[in-house]
This record gives sequence, structure tokens and C-alpha cells, in this order.
Amino acid sequence: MIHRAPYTCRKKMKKTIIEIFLILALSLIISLIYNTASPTGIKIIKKTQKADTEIKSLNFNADIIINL
Amino acid sequence: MPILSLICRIIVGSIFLISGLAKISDPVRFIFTLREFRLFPEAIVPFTAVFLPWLEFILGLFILLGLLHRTASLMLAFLNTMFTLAILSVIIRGIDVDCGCFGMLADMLKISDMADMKAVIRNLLFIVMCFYIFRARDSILSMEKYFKQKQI
Repeated sequence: MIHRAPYTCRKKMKKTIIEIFLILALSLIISLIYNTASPTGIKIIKKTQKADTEIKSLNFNADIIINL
Repeated sequence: MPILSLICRIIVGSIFLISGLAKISDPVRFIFTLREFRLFPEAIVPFTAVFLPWLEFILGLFILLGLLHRTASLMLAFLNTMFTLAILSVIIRGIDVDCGCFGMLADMLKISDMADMKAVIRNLLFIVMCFYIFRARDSILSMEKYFKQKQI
């Protein structure tokens, strides 16, 4: 026999799931809007890549200095 | 007790609101912190660094205002559990890393922000508070209650 939760419980669960998706969607939309609008936002990936390149070049320069 | 629920809401809400804002203001730093944890694939690190602080900020705001606060507290408890597991994995693997919980705010206030057992205990405390907010049926000074009263 399959046990089903009472109607009110199912209704509450459904409401909670809808609210969870609502909050997730809201934060996703706001974060995307902020990242396209703000000067620091959209360049995140480029910035980190640039920082990585800078760190690599610094290490490379340090190696050269050590070898000298 | 509605007053205890309100106190928990103020503490948890304001802490996550502030920590979310601190991470939003310095997303590059948060990317580096996430990389140091070595848990996420490189492809989703920038997206997580952008999305997670906003989720924290909105959950904190909703709990503070008392708007969908029961669902928000449930989500925050889940998020905190994930953070705790991440910190525990770092401790077990012996990686000495900044937990990134408060972003640049930790530097400004000169507070310890390391991924250690203190952070785990703090997170567990937040989880307990979140479950209390979720369990409490009645809460004072909440927008949800205000809207319900207006409808009647």
C-alpha cells in the first residue's frame, strides 16, 4: 500500500518548493544583471585570467633573476 | 517563542546580508578563495563566485525582513551545511586556506577568517538558528505577517 502525505502537507511542500525556485531565480537574475551592469562584474573571468598571467610572468621573472 | 525567533532572524539575517555584500564588492577575491578550496571544476568557479554571494545576500535580506523567511531559513541551513562540509574537507586534506566567509570585511575588521574548527562551530550554530526560525510558527515584526493581516 502506497502511503501518501495528507493534502495540507503536500500543499505546504509544493508551496515551499515553489518559493525555493523563486528565491533561486531572483538571485540568479539579480547577479546576472549586476554583473553585466557593474564595471567590476562582467570582467571577472578576464580579470582572473589577467591576474594568473601576471603571477606566471612574475614567477618567470623571479626564475630568471635566481638563475642570474 | 516569537521574540527568540526574531532575535535569531536579526542575527542570522544581518550576518549573511553583510557577508554577502562583502563578497559582492570583491568577486575576484572570492574566485581565488574558491580555487584554493579545490572542490569546484574550474569552469563553474566564476559563475559560483558571482551567484553565491547574491544568494546569501537575498536569503539574509528575506530572513531579516520576514519575507518567505521560513523557506529562506531552510535554504540557508542547507547552504551552511555545504559550507561546513567544504571547510571540513579542507581541514581533513590539510590545506591551510582562508575560508572567505566575510571577504574583505575580515581584513577591514582584522578578524580571523581561516577555514578551521572555529568556522565549523560557528556554522553549526547558524544551522541550529536557521532550524529554529523554520520551526517557529509565529514571528513578530515580519512582512509576511503584515501582508496576511492586510489581506484580512
